[in-house]
Amino acid sequence: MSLGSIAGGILGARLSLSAAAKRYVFVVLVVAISAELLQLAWHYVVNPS
Amino acid sequence: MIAGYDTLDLLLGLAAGLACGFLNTAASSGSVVSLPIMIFLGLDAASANATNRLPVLVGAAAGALDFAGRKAMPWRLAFRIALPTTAGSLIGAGIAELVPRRDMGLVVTAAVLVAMLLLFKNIKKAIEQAQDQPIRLGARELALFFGTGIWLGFIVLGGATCMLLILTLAVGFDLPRANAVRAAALVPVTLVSMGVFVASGDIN
Repeated sequence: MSLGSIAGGILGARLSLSAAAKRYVFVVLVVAISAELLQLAWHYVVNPS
Repeated sequence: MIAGYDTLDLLLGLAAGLACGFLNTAASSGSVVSLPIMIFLGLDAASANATNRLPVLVGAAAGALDFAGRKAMPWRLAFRIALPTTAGSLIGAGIAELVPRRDMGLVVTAAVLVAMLLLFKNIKKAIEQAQDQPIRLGARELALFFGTGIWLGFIVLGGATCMLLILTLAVGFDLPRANAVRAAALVPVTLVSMGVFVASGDIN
C-alpha cells in the first residue's frame, strides 16, 4: 500500500499543478466520498454482521 | 502467494495505496479508500486507523518532494503551518489511544459523514474561489491548524479536507500551493501520530 501511495502522491502533485486541476479536484473528491458512503451503507445497513 | 501474502491482497493494497496517495495529494480524503480496504483485509478499526498512517505518510512525502522539485513549495509557510498542526496531532493521537476499540468503527463512520458535509457545503466554493491572494497567517489561522491537527491525529479521515478549506478560504492560498503546503505539513503530523501508535503497538 505504501509503494502505491508513493506513485499516487507524485501523480496527485502533478495533477494539482496542471491547468485543469480546479475542474478535476472536485470531481475526484465527489467520487471518493461517494464510494465511501456506498461502502458504509453496505457495512452498516445492508450487511451489518 | 508472494512472501507469505496472498497476491490478490497485495494487488488490492497496491491499488488502494495508489488511490490514497493520489487523492490525498490532489484533493483529500485518500483514507476513504485505504481505511476500509485495511478493514476488509482483516484489520480491526483501531489497528486500521493506526496502520493507515504509513501510506498517508509516504504519499504525502512523495507529493511534497514532487512539489518541491517543481519549485512549487513555499517552505517557510509550510513550516509555520506544520508546527501547530503537528502539536495538535500529538494530542489527537493520544485521544485515539483512549477511545475504546469497539467505538472506533462509529468514529470512522462519523468522520466520513463530516467529510461528506464539508465536501458538498464548502469545498466546491473553496476550489472555485481560491486565488493567489495576500496570505493571512495570524493567531486565528494557527489556532485553526492546531484544532485540525487534533482531528488529524485522532483520525486522518476528513481532517485533510478541513485543512484544504482553511488553507484556501482562511489563509488565502491558491489550490496548487494549498496542496503543496498540506502535503508537507502532513509529513510531521503523520510521523508524530505514528510514533504514538507504534509506542502502543497498534500498527500492524
